[in-house]
Amino acid sequence: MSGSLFSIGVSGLQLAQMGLNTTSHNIANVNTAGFSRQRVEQVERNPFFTGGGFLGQGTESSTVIRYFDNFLSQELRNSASSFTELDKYHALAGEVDELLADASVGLQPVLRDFFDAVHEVADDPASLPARQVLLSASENLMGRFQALGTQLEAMRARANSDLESAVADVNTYADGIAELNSRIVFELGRGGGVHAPNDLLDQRDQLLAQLAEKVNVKTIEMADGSLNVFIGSGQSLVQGANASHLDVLDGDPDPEQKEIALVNGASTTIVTNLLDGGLLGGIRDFVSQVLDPAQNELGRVATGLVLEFNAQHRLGYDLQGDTGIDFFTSALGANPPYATVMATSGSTGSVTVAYDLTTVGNLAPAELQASDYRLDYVQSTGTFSLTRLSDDFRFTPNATGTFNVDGLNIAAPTVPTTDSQFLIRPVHDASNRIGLAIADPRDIAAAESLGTDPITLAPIPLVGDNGNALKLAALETKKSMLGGSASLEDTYGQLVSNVGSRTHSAQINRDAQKVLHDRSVANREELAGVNLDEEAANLLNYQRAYQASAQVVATINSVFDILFDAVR
Amino acid sequence: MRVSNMLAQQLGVDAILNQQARMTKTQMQLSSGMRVLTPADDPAAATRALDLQEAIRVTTQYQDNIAAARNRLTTEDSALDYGTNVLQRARELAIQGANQGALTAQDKRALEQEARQLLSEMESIVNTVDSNGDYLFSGYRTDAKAYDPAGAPVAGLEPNPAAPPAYVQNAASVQYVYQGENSQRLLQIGASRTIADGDPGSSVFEDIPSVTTVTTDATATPPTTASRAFSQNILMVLRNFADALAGKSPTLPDTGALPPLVDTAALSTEQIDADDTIQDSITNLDAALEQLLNTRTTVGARLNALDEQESLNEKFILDSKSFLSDTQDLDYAEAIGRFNLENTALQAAQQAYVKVQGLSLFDFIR
Repeated sequence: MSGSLFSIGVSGLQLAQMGLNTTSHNIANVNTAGFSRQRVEQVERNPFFTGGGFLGQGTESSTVIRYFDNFLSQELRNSASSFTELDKYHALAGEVDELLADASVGLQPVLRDFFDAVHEVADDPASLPARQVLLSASENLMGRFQALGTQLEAMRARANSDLESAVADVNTYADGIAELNSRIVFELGRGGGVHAPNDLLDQRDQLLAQLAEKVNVKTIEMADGSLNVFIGSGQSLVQGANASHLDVLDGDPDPEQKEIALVNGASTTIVTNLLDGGLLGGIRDFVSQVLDPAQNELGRVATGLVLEFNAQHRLGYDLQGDTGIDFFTSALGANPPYATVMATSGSTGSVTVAYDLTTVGNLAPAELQASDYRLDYVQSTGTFSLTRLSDDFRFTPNATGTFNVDGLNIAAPTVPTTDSQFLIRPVHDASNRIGLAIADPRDIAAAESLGTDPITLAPIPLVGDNGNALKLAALETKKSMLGGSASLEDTYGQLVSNVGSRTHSAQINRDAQKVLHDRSVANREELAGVNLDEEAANLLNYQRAYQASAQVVATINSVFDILFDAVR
Repeated sequence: MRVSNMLAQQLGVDAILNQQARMTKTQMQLSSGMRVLTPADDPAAATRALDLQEAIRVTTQYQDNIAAARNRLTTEDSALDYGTNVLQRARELAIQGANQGALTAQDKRALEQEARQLLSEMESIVNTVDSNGDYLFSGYRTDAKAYDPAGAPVAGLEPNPAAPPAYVQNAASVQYVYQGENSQRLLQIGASRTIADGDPGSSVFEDIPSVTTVTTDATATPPTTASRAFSQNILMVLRNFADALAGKSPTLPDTGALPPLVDTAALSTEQIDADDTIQDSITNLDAALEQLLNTRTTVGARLNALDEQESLNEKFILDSKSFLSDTQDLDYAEAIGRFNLENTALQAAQQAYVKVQGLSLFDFIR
């Protein structure tokens, strides 16, 4: 009876102490990311049966629980994945957006200066200063094309390095989750499967949340308390205590087109296009939806300018009465410097690409697409097939086994002897490769015709003839691009508005996702977050309980004193 | 709803950051005067602004072209005006000279000298250069004089020095020959409008319809005469006029509309009538005058067209600029109002944050 009385008081003291402990733990972790508040689950001890009924035996703790809801955590991970994906995409696209529109670095100002200079030559074709100004304006124009191309390349390099650091983070988190898995399995076993190691579980959930910011993940909880993590379309990243790793590989054939691979022991799987969400998804989508198209469209403007201007320039006569030569680096013939052909490793044979200028009216500039192409050769059937990568449209070869599509002539002078694959980039690198072919201002072919000396009847240059210069100046407004529907500047404008709309819609999506994400955070915080006022109240509550239990012990003590005094 | 301290903190800070971001954007709009800072702000407006800027720039270039064309046409107009004066003076001299009987030999020499002076003035007029040093009347051959003042040896018909007034063919007859080229340079002055900034000498000074009176039968009494038509250039008109004042027969082109004046068979019967040459010169000077005036009229019409196109372009530029301003420029009144509102909102967010963070139950536990 007396032991039982003391024991009741002590059980109250112990429970109040546990409560104070847990409350302090909550207060201490008020700012810990991913922390879920904890509570001691207090239950009555089994009662003692007497003839007079069941006597209560005090209290005990059944376990310490954390406020946690799997659904809310999953919701938070998903929304974090989507939000970081859109946030990263928007941030990167915004950089391209500002680059293209900035008056001091965009293309329009120099393109206008260039055509203004052509007009000045048309106004006074005999003037060497006017011709010199045109050469300087051309150099500025090329410099701007190259600067824009270089800036886009720099953005690609930055996106690639972001990708590498995100992949490194993913690997760190995967290792951490695997490590925690093994500890949780052990600790759960120690607690007989009844007591959960709350703080370890929080840490694992936090790592999962951070992982979800890099890439969207799916999880399955196993019976032993470990968590298996999957990415992409079900590729296993963490299995129990084992973690696989992601790796960034150089693309084949273009090393700058990075691929993400999942390395599991000896097997390596390319998962670039299987991943979704998170930083990885955002960077990948930015490269494929904004950066590559922007570079191709910029290259198409450069190629269009070169093809149109050179063709018209060759029709004129210069100050010495010589037939016009190419103004910009020539784009004629097979494999001009503006186009790139790369073979995938293991490919054989050779492939050439040329701009199609044979058709009347300069087919190429109007038909050129802002896209890369893939040429596949199947050795067993001996057939080529060409795929336009922007929309995966497949072309079949014409009778001679060549392709005359989209203003291009693509042929394979040496037929491969193995299955082969070639990446063809007709315009992708053009803005970096545009160059000036003339250096002497007298070589500018402003004249449209040659004159005849009235006495000797020999052909003589007509220095006042501005016929060709007028036609060159008219190229500015000529609808030579996009199937004959847009001028050069329109085409550049389309690039600006494409990037602008993508950035704009990315911003709208990002803001919308931010609201959803904030709501997920709030929902989780509502359940699991620490409220200091609440903890203060708990503190007081447990303090009072402790005081009362202590009073119980003191009271029993004095009760015994009374008893001892009585029998002395 | 439970509110965790972390969430309260987050919400408070987020609210402040959002307000600051909005204010920064408004501030950038205010300092740049632009409503659209990047294409992403309003892709449609950004594209329209590009189109408008392009249209404005192209039209501004047309205005420059108009200035260049006006410069040349004005120079041409003054040259033609000067040429008209020269011809009118020559005509006055011709009328004085036509009254041969009343003139002394000294008078005649004075008239001839002034006529030669007028010829040399006309030589400089046909070789007028513009402000860039290009020859105005040489067509596309702007680096060559329209006419060599020394003349060039070409086949022609000249009075026979051995038996005047009979004529001979001379393969090396020194005449003025047009050395320029026949094209008109066009300048773009509107989206679909070009204008010629000059006229080649071949259309201004050449092919002046002229006449010369020939004696078809010198034996008849009075001798029978006929008027023969041919064409010559303006310098030859003046030179033949000066020669006529000196009592010489005109030098004629070997080709053209003139039927054979003289051939071996006609030598004895058909001769240039020297007495009528001054009278012929008056007719020819009138024809030259008319041709110059006609050209001046077209130059004047083109100058008018330039003015008209210029004001048309001006209006287009003005309209486009106003439209561009509507498209991308900032409404300052609206932006300043917005800025003030955002300022107030930021202050409210800051104060709310401080108030909320200041509340704690721990403050009351003593």
